[in-house]
Amino acid sequence: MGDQWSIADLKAWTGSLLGKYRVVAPVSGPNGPVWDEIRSPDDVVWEYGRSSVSPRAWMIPRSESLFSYDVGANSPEIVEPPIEAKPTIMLLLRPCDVAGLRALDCVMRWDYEDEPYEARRKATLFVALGCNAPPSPETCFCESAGLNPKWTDEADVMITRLPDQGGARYRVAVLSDAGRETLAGAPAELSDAKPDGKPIGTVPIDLDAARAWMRGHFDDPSWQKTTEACLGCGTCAFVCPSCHCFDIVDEGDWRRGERVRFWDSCNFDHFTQHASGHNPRPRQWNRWRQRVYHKMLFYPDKFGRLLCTGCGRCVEACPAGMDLIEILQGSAAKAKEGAAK
Amino acid sequence: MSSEAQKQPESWQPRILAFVCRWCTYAGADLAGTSRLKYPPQIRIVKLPCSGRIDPLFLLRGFEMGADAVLVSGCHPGDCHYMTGNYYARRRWVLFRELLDFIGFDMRRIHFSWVSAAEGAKFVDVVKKVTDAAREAGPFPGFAPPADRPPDVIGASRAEGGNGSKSAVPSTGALSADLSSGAVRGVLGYVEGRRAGVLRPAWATDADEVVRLRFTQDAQPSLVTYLVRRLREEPEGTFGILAGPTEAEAIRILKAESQIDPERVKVYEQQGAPSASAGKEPWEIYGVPSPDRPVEERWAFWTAQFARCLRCNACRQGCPLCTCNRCVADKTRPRWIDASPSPAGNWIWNVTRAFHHAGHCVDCGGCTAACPAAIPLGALNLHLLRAAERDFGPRPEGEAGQRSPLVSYRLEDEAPFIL
Repeated sequence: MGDQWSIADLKAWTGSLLGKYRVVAPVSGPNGPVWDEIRSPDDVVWEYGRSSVSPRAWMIPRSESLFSYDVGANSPEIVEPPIEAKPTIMLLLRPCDVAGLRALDCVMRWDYEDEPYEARRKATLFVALGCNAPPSPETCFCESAGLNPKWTDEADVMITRLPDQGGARYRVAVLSDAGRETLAGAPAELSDAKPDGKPIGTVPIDLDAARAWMRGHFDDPSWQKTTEACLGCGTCAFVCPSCHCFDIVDEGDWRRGERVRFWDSCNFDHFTQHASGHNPRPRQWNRWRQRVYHKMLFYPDKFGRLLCTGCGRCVEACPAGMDLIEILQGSAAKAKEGAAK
Repeated sequence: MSSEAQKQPESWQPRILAFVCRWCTYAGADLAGTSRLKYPPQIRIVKLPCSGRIDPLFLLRGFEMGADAVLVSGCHPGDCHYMTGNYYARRRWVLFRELLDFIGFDMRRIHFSWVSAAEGAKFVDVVKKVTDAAREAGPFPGFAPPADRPPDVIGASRAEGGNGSKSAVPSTGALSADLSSGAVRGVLGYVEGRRAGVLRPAWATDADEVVRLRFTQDAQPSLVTYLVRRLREEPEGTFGILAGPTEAEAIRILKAESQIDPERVKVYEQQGAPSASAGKEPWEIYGVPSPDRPVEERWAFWTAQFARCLRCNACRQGCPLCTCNRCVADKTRPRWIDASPSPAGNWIWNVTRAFHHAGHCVDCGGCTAACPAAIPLGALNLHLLRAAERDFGPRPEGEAGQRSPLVSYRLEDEAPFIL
């Protein structure tokens, strides 16, 4: 079959990786696929749409110890945990999740070398799988966020699913030298052919218009109305592939304890709480607005890419029915109304 | 747990923490000492003013810091130096034990007693019993799940609720009239968003917005959460809310607890069927282990559930009755509960949250629906609700019935487990 891979080929290749790499892939979880280390290619949910949570916990764990301290009899002792950085392959990442992980890079590798992150990142390869149809037609909007759901250049290996012909068929392309190494003993040939550029029909949003409107309307009174349902639970941030904010606390007592870094969310009221008691974002709608502005304007202004990949998980997961797509579409509509006037 | 205990060498001694009131039990312990009575020396005593001051959180922190068993002791009923402190404590102990037993905590590790200042000999007896039980239970295993690592899951799809396929359009005449006359500044209901059937809470402030309002009893989150927030953010004005039986009950409770000003709330009652949980036990609804299951199974189940907790506090945000201005989970001086997700911190947070609503919950399901880790939190609250009814009788009718069982007592409350 030349450059066409069967599912058996993919499994054989995955099996060949298992000795050398820790392979993290979508496995079945109680509420849809989740990311976990696999022991066999049969653990992988090969036919999957979108994982219920993003894979970013494998780059920024939801909680990690930076060091522990113990005040002994005479002098305090500080112990840094060994940095774990097993060679890892993230298998079957959707292009939106690759974009999310790349967005973490911009922050975590920006002005300071974060040792644990850097070690994990350097040891990790991304193997992506393109989407030929939106996994969630009501909430996927990656094309509006400027991504190509069928292809990403930001992975190390790119897998494309072809139309079925007596079973699933795939094409595998190499995008980096590190990716090429993983394919040394590949069971079938590689191919550079890219899929066609036809859109797959994710939810349309005129994001340029929405962002243009937002730029001049930070203080627009409508923000209060459009974001009033937000509970402040942080679920959107915890399922997001590109959210990266963390908190650091010392847990324990004066005798012994740990400095822990763990996920935070700008939707929590104490996120911006000052020690004085003053909170510059006192209301929930201030916090929600911050989230949208950070994703759509502040971060792009700094790093030249969106902090949103259009994966739609926040829309799906919000317990209060908040809908980022609706808010962005609304902003775009307001931009057009403004232009018409 | 018991098998571990059997592995302990003879020389192993349990660490036991005792929280006692200063007027009776501490004086009783003193008497035991001055009388030269001997008792096992593994106990460490923390003296507090009254058994009513002993928050169950102290006990949990004790276990976190290495205790293998805990004793709580105060004055006999009728003897409280502050008249009624121990009556409140007794209710708290009853419900706290109900909760711990439900989630498979080894009850050999937690003990309660009445010891008066004259009962030095009884104090000795109690300490012996507690020490024997603790030795039998063995070292406290910690709060991590016993088996293999639990799946590192944040299951984003949630329990039922939130979808208004059955949503009704409320009659809008009265609402519009009240809005246009200025009797209310806004009316709270649900609106349907971009996606059909997905409702979200919204305020209507004029007649145009009123016609978009929807209501359904099953929708999440509870509108009451948003009402409380608005009343706190805006010091003046009256606000309306569409309320089914569950919301109306939550509002009555909040009024009785002075959390909302009755003058500033107008309730537009909506039709509602009896709660789906009426007459049912939590394991019938949530599929959690029933109290008939072995204690090890309950412990394994709930520690694995709590291990998934992200400490996002969505359960609190989605609860119509969580109205503390500063939640114990956010307090930092001292930090009562670890902020980061950790087995001990997660366990203590979830137990504390459930216990704070013991018998106080309106069973709206908001916590379960909001939990992104899909932990069946509502089962804990429902169990405590049923337990409070069994132990203290049904909530009295009227205003008094709106007082949580934890902030009331009866002289005849029974607690046969107290030593």
